[in-house]
Amino acid sequence: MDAGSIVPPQSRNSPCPCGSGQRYKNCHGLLAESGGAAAVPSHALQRSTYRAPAAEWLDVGEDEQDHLGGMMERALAHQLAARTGEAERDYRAVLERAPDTHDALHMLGVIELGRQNLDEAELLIRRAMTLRAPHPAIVRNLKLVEEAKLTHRRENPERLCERALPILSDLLRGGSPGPAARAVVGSANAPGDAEIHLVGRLHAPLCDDGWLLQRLGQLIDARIWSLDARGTGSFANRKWFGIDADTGSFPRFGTHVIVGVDTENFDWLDRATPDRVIVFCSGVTPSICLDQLRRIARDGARTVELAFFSSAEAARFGAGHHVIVPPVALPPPPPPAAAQAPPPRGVWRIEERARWRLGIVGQTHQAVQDVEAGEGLQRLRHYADELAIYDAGRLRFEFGDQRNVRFFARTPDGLLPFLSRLDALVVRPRTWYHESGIQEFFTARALGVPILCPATSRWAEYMQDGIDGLLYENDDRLLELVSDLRTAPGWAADIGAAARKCTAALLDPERLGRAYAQLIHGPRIAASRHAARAKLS
Amino acid sequence: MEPVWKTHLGTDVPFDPVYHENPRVEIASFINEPPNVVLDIGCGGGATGKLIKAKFPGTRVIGIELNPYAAAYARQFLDVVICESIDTVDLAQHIGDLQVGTVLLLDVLEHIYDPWRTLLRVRNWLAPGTRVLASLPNIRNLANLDQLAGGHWDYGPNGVLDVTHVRFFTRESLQAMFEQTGYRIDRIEPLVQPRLIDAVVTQRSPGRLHTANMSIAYKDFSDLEDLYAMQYVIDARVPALPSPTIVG
Repeated sequence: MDAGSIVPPQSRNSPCPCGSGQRYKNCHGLLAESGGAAAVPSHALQRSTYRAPAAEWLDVGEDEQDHLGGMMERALAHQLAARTGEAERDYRAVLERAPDTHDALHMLGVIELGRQNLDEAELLIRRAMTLRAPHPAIVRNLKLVEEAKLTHRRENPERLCERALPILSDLLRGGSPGPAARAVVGSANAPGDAEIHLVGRLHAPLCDDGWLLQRLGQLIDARIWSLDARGTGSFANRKWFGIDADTGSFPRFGTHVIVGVDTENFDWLDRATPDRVIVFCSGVTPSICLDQLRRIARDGARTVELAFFSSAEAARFGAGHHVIVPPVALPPPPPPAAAQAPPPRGVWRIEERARWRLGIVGQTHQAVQDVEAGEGLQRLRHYADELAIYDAGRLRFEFGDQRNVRFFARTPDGLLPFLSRLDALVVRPRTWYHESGIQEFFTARALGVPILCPATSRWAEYMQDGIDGLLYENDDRLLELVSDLRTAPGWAADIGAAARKCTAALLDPERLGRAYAQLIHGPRIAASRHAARAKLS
Repeated sequence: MEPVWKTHLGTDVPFDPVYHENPRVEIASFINEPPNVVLDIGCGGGATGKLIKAKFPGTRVIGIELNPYAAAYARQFLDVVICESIDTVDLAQHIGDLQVGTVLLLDVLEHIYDPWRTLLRVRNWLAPGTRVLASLPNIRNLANLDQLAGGHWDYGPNGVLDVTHVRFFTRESLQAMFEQTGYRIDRIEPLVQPRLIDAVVTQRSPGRLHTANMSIAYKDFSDLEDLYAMQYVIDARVPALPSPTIVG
């Protein structure tokens, strides 16, 4: 915990936020004035102003109270100056003499929180709480500990799993390539012409997986299987079949292209005997990938190929995976601007200054998670006339009352109204597996909206910095770029035009169709186990 | 500590700043354009009306609030505050022929024994095209399901299991309620505070969440979001009157 943990109250006569029960001017205010430990006068040790509530120091004599108070003050000064070792020593010394000094317990807890010893921190702060009526500062610090614990609980397993991904990758590629070599009669059944099965959640168009399945269904000639419905139906003039392991309705043989792995419904796969399996598993946490890909690969008995939308993401899984452009549909060209009749002579008109609009995407559509609404975003808001947020999620609670923030709901056709009014789109940094926004990114580029993207993002490889997009390393650089962009409309227009041109070529439906056909009909990537071993040695 | 039924039920509930003075920032996020005259039914201490007035200066806000202490407090901020039950109030008597542009029903309907009749009554006051923004707690949120699975159903002073709630809804049932009472729903949006739910999730596996007392499968993102939603916001409009039909 840094010095900022004690925020001075408005009045120096208010109770000190540290929870000591004393006035601020007599507690931390005194320390703030003295400017840290270096300036703590030596006589302070004899004549300290700090006193614990009477009940805590019942059996401590007046002289000793002076001594302990001095130690508390010195400890706090150390803590504010980030010398946590010295601070801890003093607090512990105080506790040895008077174990019920709640301030010492509380501040020790804060030190442990800073060191990420969360269990210890919680214990200390809870003990401090039992000694004293609930105080906002203690409650707030306890909440910080609980939040840190929660984040740890959620992220730690993912970090571990992330490290296992390359091992998983070897497992996936080491399996046997499936029963492709089964006895075939006639050339029509040759592996290259085998039937293609697209498998995924067809009825969740707002999910990235659902969208991808529908889009692939439009691009390639395949039989479409729905994991989220039974029976049959039609979609875009194509028939789909519901997967139902009980009735035996599931794809058999051929190439299985599985879109999305965050689902339980894979019981049928053990009986499906596919010749070849390609999985799109973008945007899912490593733990889910490990669980489900291992299962699809039958613990290494079956070869599974993975396809990703960026080489940065593919590299997390090791080398040798498919990397392909996401199959985003090109947005319709903007309607031609209506020719404006010149105003009649002699009529005055007040031209409204154009509002400069910045956009961000709030929630990703794979996992519900806290969207950071930190200082960076708060600052960003002041750099534009209007901040537009698409699918705000929790950001509604942060920015709902701001007049220059506008919210757009995620609906099947809500993206174009959001993007078409933007002067620039900011992609916010996220953990790589939560980096969603496939459609938002490419549609914005196709519309010619300049994009500011973190240099670490998986989308960075689709942009040439300064030519058809802008990359930023941190929030300060982002704000700098945003204000540059705003003051140089010509530059912004050039970037937009370059992005539009490049993306139009990339997303051309014919080119996309060919790329996907090549991925699915083309040569397998998987090396045999022997070849992989030979490579290793 | 006194049980909540002793302290929070009854006709003479005192004004509780935490309860009645809580501005709904997230609700203001649904109002992107000046909302014309706002009718805030169950306005509490008027905090949300105050917020909307700050976001769109010049907006007139009329509040209806049953609790006399809260209503008196709200009078500081709102243009008109009517201290009467929604089921007996004669709106025209208070506001004349002033036309309401937006109606707020924030966490109101779950406190009413017959919210269907209330919705019908409110609809009769409104001109076609009037916007209705309502929020209702989602009883299917994972924290609640986990509690129930563990055998607990603890009413509290606030939250989804507020002791004064008499009706409980899921996304489907609240949608049905608005449709059956003649509203046209533009959209239903979940309000999520992921940390509150993350706190009860002990493990995740493909298509499934585990808590201390249960495990539950989800089909897709919207299903997952439903488990995370503490509340739903219903953004509806009063449809144009159906053309009169002559019944023979």
